[in-house]
Amino acid sequence: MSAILEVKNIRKNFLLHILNDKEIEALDDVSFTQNEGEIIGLTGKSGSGKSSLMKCIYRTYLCSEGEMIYNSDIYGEIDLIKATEHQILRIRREEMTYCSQFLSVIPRVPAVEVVAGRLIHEGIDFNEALERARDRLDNLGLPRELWDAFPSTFSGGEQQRVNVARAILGKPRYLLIDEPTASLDPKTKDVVIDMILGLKDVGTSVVLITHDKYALERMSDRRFHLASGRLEEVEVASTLAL
Amino acid sequence: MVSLPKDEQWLLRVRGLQKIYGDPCSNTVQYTGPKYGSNICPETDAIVACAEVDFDLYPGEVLGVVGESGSGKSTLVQLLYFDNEATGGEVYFRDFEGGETNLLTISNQKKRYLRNHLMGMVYQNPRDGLNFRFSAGGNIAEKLLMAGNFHVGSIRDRASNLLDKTEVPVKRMDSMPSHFSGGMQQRVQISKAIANNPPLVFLDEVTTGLDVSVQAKVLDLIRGLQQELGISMIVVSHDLSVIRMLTDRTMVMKNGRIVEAGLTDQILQDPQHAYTQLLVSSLL
Repeated sequence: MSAILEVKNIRKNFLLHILNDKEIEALDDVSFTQNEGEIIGLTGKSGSGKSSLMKCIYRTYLCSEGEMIYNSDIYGEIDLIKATEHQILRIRREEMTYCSQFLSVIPRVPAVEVVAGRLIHEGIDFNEALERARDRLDNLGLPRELWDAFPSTFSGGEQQRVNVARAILGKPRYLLIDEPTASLDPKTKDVVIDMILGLKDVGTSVVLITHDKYALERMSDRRFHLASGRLEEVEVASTLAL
Repeated sequence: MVSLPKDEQWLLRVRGLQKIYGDPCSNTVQYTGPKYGSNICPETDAIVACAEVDFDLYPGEVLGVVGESGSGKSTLVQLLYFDNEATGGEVYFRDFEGGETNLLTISNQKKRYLRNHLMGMVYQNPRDGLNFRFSAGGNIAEKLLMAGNFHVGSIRDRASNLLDKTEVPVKRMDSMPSHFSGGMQQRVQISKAIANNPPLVFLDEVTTGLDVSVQAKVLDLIRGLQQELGISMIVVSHDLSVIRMLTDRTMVMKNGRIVEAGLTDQILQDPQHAYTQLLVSSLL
């Protein structure tokens, strides 16, 4: 199996000038290798650095040190820390999706268009894209009358459905997904898990943050635990031995 | 030079762009800027409106420029649109002479050609972008005439088409802009700016001063046009929500210099420079 991402000794410190140059350490010498098509589960308490690690991979955060070699379809092996902004933008457009814990969308765009966004961008026929988006929202149990409404007015669970539907519909090559099953009922949770496993079947590599033991056990191939910015692999004896 | 695929090539390349008012000395640039918290030369009182500005804009890309009043962000686009004459630097534009000619050195005639055929500008104040003695349609016609389109029928068709696209009632094509609301004037200005299908449009504080719902409509319009037509844009704004909504990359300016540049989400979530941190933390 070939590696999709090799993270080597990364550190992330925040230097807060407005608080008299206070320094906050978020990630401390983190290294791991992810194979193509693998789902990595990240666990850890709030503030342990899980989201920081994801944002460093997505370049929303700039790493302070280290290397992150991503095996890109477009560029081949590329260090995500040193890549140009234009290269990162293109990788985000064509290969990598980040699905954050909270839905952040452009205001005044209907839910179904939010979900179809990536397909439309890829040049798929507008109506066809909307059709597929509606299918997804239907699977995820978002009430039909909300499909053409603006997601910023939705409840937490409804926003979560839009968020997950959007990330999954684009069939990214690399998916960073933060708490996809939080605030969902058990039935929808299983639907989401099956969708993510479906992506894995077509080759998507995933980094998953979750506090949900069930989701973790069903999805993750390997698990890593973060504590105060340090990463350790968790040995799993046997999966689903509940 | 390695040949890159088309979308990896810059459309506009800016190097060392500079505008200084007054008489600079050899130390003017060195002793001004964010490090000194001032853009006034301590020796000669020359004012450095902007200096050492370097960036590349890619085709179809939207680049944001943020900063407080007086940071040089409007000057930057005025220099690029030739509203204001630069005192130094180089600017190359891929669609003009293969991107090999420094635009700052070309004749005024060629500058007019560029403005009329390849660039569009939307100003904060519609009075800067529109001629208030002409009707809305007349303003669009003016831009088309300048670009050598003299057929009255096709000019009127294009004007009504543009007004329709920007949601200005076509019935009001022959009304004067002074009889329009602020939001409508802004939309006529946008129609005028994109009339010749320019590959590059500058937007200078286009929503400042409009009320929130009108602001939203103007932003939606700009975003829609950008996606539909793939226009490259430079968006100048002091409003981080405008920047967040429209741009992929952002440059932060202070005292006439770029203090930080990066992906827009990175600038907003992991700002590096003290000034950007202050700006982001001031966001309501």
